[in-house]
Amino acid sequence: MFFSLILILKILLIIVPLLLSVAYFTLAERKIMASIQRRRGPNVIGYLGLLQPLADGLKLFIKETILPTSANIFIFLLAPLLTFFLSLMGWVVIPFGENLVVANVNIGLLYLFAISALSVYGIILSGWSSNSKYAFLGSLRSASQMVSYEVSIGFIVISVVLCCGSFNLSEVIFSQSKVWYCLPLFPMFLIFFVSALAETNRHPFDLPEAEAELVSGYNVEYSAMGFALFFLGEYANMLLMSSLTTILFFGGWLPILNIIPFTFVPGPVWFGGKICIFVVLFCWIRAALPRYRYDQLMSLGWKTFLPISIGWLFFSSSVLICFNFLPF
Amino acid sequence: MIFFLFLTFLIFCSFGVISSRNPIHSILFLVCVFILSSILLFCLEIEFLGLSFILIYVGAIAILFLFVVMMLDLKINDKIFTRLQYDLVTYFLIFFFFLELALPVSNLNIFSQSLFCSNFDWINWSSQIETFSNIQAIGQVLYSYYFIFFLLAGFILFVSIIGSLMLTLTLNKVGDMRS
Repeated sequence: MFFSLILILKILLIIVPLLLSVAYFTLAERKIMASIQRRRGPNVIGYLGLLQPLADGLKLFIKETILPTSANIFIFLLAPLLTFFLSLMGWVVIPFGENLVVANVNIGLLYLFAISALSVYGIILSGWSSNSKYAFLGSLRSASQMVSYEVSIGFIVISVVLCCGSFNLSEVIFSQSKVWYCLPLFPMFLIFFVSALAETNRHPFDLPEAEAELVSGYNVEYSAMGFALFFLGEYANMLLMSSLTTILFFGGWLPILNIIPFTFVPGPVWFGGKICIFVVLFCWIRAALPRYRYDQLMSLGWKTFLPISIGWLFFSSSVLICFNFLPF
Repeated sequence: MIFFLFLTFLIFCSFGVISSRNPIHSILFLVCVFILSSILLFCLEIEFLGLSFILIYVGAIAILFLFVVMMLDLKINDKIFTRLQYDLVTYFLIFFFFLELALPVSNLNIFSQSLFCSNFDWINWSSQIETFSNIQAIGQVLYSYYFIFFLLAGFILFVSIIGSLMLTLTLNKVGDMRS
């Protein structure tokens, strides 16, 4: 009884801040894009518009849920739930600080990878069950994009794992105490970040919801809470990808330098700050870059990123073997 | 007990695969089967294989199935005669495989040991002191005793890659400006 109570508390302690940060991610995105485009952005509700996400959430919550008559109702309702739950499930292995993790599993990276492989299903099922051409085309685009960028992400993760010798996320961070992996593996960091953009269907790779052609992609037919769950899932996935980038390449909760003024700042603050940098980068890229064409997107994934990441895997493993640097 | 609970779910899902009318539904049941079987592997503490099951079967193969079936315009055949024809074959095959599996299992007598006498909650002290992770255990035998099979599996995959490339490759003809 006591044990399960503690478990529920732990889960709530992750989910509630996560949902809050997703809400403020949307506000941050609108504010940052507004300031890039020299506008004010949302500034009416609350002080400086700080209550805007709550108002948006309330609006979505009290709207009417419309179920299309030709839709496959069960799968139609299942798809947003699946997306949302899978985006929450990944956070269970993310270490927020030293020993600050719900499940310190041995194969955390593999787990994250499997979760992200499953999250394709939410999108592809929503597209099929809506029984609408726009939604279907959007979901096909999105699924093929996610599947193809997952491959190169896998190879990048393997080259990081070769350097640290463990799939455990905490050990990945501990092994970066001398130097963060973004320095020795810099090209991999760039490719990983761009692949993360494509994996989360973000600009400049947001072909699935190309407004001009597909209205808004796989979630056209969804209204009210269904749409809200997709939205929350998408932004939670973005946060998850930026925290994964932080863990793999920017040393997670480790401070910049291991000397006095930096070590006073607690680990989770470092972690959050590094995630914030990537969140700002996500918004900045959305405001600055035009959208890719679909064949360009696919050739970038398969013909550029995949060969480079495989080649880098061979290169890094041979360097590690040559200098006897292998960590096990 | 959780193991047997998931095992029952698994059996129901695999009946769903062959008995559902809609091909998309049967693929979704297939995905459920893969996920449940990886959960069974988790219960047996083979986490690495379970996760790679999800990664490969659910994340890649079933997605491709789903893709192809979604884009095909399949007519749902509901005539009772043709369904009976196919179903008889499937149920016959299921019965056959069940016999194949049940005979050795009934000899092993595992049910009397594991299902009913699992009240003893013992701690494996040796595993508390030193543990092998799954990946280490697999790697130690895969790259030493069974390296020849590993190489052969690699060759088979390589041949299949070349084969699929040859099937889809269209050589650039003269005047084909699109390339």
